[in-house]
Amino acid sequence: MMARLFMLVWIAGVCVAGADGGRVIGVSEIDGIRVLLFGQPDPLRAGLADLGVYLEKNGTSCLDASVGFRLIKLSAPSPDPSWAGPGCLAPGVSVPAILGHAGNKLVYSAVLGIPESGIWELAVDINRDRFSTALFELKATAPAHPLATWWPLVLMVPAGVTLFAWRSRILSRRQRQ
Amino acid sequence: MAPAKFPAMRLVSFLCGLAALLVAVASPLDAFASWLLSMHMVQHLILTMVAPPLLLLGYPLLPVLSGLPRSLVSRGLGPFLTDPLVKKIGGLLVHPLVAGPLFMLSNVLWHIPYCYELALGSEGWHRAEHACFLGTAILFWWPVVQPWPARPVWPRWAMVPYLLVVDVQNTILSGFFTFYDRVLYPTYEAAPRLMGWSAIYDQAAAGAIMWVPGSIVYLLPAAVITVKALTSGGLARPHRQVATQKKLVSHSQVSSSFDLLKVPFLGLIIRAGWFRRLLQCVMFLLAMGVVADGFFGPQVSGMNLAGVLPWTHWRGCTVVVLLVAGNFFCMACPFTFARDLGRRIFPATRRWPTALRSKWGAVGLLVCFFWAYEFWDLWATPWWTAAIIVFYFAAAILVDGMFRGATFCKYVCPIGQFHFVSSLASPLEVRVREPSVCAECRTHDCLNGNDRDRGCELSLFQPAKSGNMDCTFCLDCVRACPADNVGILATPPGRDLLYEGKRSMVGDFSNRPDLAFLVLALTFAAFANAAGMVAPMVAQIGGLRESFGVFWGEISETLYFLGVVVAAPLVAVFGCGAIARWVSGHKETLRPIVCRNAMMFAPIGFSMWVAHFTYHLVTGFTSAWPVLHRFAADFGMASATPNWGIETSMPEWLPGMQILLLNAGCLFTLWLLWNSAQRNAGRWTFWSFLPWGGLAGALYAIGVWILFQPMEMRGTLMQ
Repeated sequence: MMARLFMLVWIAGVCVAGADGGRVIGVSEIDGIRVLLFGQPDPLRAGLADLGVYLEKNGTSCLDASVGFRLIKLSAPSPDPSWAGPGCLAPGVSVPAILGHAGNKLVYSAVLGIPESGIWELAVDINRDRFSTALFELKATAPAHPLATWWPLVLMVPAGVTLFAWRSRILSRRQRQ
Repeated sequence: MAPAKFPAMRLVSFLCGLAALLVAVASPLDAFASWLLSMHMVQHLILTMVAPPLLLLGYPLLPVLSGLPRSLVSRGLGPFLTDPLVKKIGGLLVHPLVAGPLFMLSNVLWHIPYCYELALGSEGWHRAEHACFLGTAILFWWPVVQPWPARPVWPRWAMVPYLLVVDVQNTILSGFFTFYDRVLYPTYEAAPRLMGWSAIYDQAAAGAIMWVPGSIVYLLPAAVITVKALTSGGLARPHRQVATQKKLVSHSQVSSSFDLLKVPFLGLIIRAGWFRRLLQCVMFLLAMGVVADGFFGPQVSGMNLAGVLPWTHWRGCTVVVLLVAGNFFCMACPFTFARDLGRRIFPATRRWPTALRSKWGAVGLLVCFFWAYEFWDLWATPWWTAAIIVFYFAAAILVDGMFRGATFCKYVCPIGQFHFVSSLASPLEVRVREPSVCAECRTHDCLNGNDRDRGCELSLFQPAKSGNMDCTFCLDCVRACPADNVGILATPPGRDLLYEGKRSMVGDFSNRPDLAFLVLALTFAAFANAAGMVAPMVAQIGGLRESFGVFWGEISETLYFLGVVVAAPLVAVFGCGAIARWVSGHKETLRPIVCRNAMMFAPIGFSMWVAHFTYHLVTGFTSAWPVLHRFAADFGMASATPNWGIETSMPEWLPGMQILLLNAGCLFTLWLLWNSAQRNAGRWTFWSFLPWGGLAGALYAIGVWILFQPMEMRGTLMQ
């Protein structure tokens, strides 16, 4: 029982051990602050997007700002594709971006749900001494089919069946011998 | 196992290897990987040169196997580990002529700019890159470390040129990084420049890290091997050590079953009669609150206790407890609490009519309930939710006030049937601890009761009981047994589904069409109920009402529902049964084949319920706080306005967990069906299994499709 419990915790632990990532997808300068926008997936798609900004002033990181993201649709509305996935239901309202979310604690980041494909404007509200907003134009392509994300888990069933069939074959061969 | 082979140093080495892995993939090293190539290089060096040799020096194979559950090792992994083909493939992979080139190929390929950029731009490819590095590195270090009980295929001295060849490759690659005058990977050119390092300087530093510490890691073991060989004169091919062939698992050692009632303190509390009463009182008070708010509170489900607690929290918690423990919600049932109070006025004297002693009545009520849920959107109408609860209380008091025993639980209660069927896949079971003690018992207190405690109201005789069917976890039998021989014991989930024989008051599953249909209705309803809340189905059902008008739209909706929950399972199982019977030439009649195999669908149905209800529980968990706040404020117990703006969102891990649950249910059902076919179809096992396996596979595919759809956030204000 304890061994099974341990295995369960271990598997769960492995599942949640993620990695930071993302590339610079936009650079802007506002009020002397250089704003570097990181985004993942690259290229951006409708659905969940991990966005982060690195703020730099005179070559040093700004870690004392409060930052928020706002998504504004620029292009014409596109119909919601049926395979959009649950994460796409998150509304594109203002979301606070925090340092704690990123592994390196230098990037203000948040996970946003991009509701549909098209051209979007990301407003990065920066409050540090004074309030300023950096704007980035983002192009979100059509959402990925959920299978593109979850195929390793879905494959577990055919893999399990294959292993079981293989095991049965080994045992029956051994029995014949 | 040879204890001399495992001094503390081995354990320390293995733990250091795990720590190195943790540092590589879950520390700030990884967080800076896309900013600084030098950091990324350190991460890769740890993955290829530090973690693998440390892990292998721990000789992990046998300790890991002995730490796994015995049945998994002996019945699951054992056949593979002892199969000649698997051994041959394993031996080939760790052969120096294969492992070395694979390692070098992986190193070179992933450093090609296109591949490296691919990994930097995608989390999935990044993980694949790391898996590749780690996997090939373990293969590479295997012949060098030779973790016991591995046997060397080359003489020890051959490891020296083996390591040197890889060092040459490492030197060439690192020299290229160090001296190349352009930035190889554009991502680093765009990244913020920390510590004032330019991208080209960072690249040169990465090359130097790869070159110097990298070379040391290869040259050091080469030197150690050379010195050892020269001092011991062991340059010749070593005498082959014959690995001790020991059985991985001793079958005679059977682990004793876990008994929840034997857990200190907790066991005492659970078995105490007052504990059940306390649970029932709490649930009763909650039910009263839900009823009051349902009738008199705001008729917006997300703002009403009746719209939130039963449909989001109670259902979710129930299935989670059923999955990890057992039928503890029947133990805490508020309806039986009211019934027990009612019995002080209505002394039950009659016996439930013989014609009604089956699950058919409960199945009918269950189907009606599911239909009402979809048809009238019960989750969205607090008034109806409250009315149903009141009706439930009335029915429990009336039925059990007139008829002896727990008639309501056994033959009427649809919720109870859901719990009974779901608990077939639970890991805990109320059962006899030591059968030999029962053999000498003449009083049968667990069934008949005694002066102090009542016996089982569902007439389950413990020594002949098997599985959780019809068991409400009331623990009356536990308290009544004078020998203290009944416990809540661990059991392999689903074990009872494979038991072919008579159970106390349940009988043989293959002779219980009512039970078989109950399982089927619950299984198909699990998929229908989840499908009813995904966008494409909601649109389709809305389209029916638009196309046919309200009245005919509702009729067609009803027919559609009955088709899915009643007709489809019947057609499917009789079709599968007939095909299986025909292809296997089985002489058995169709009825037992269908009844027996239909029961095997309980795990996949339950897994769909768990995946569905945990979605609501997780996404809507916080929705209870403002509602409770509002409810308290209505009674003057809180002053401030509730915060209706509490964020409701879906965690990223939830879809993965839902798919894993469905995977487990599907694989479990397939395994049960295969075992059933093996027992009953002899050499036609495969053909007998095929139609049933196909049906389980089809349900799984439907389940995955449902989980991939956008779902309504029921029970929250984000509907």
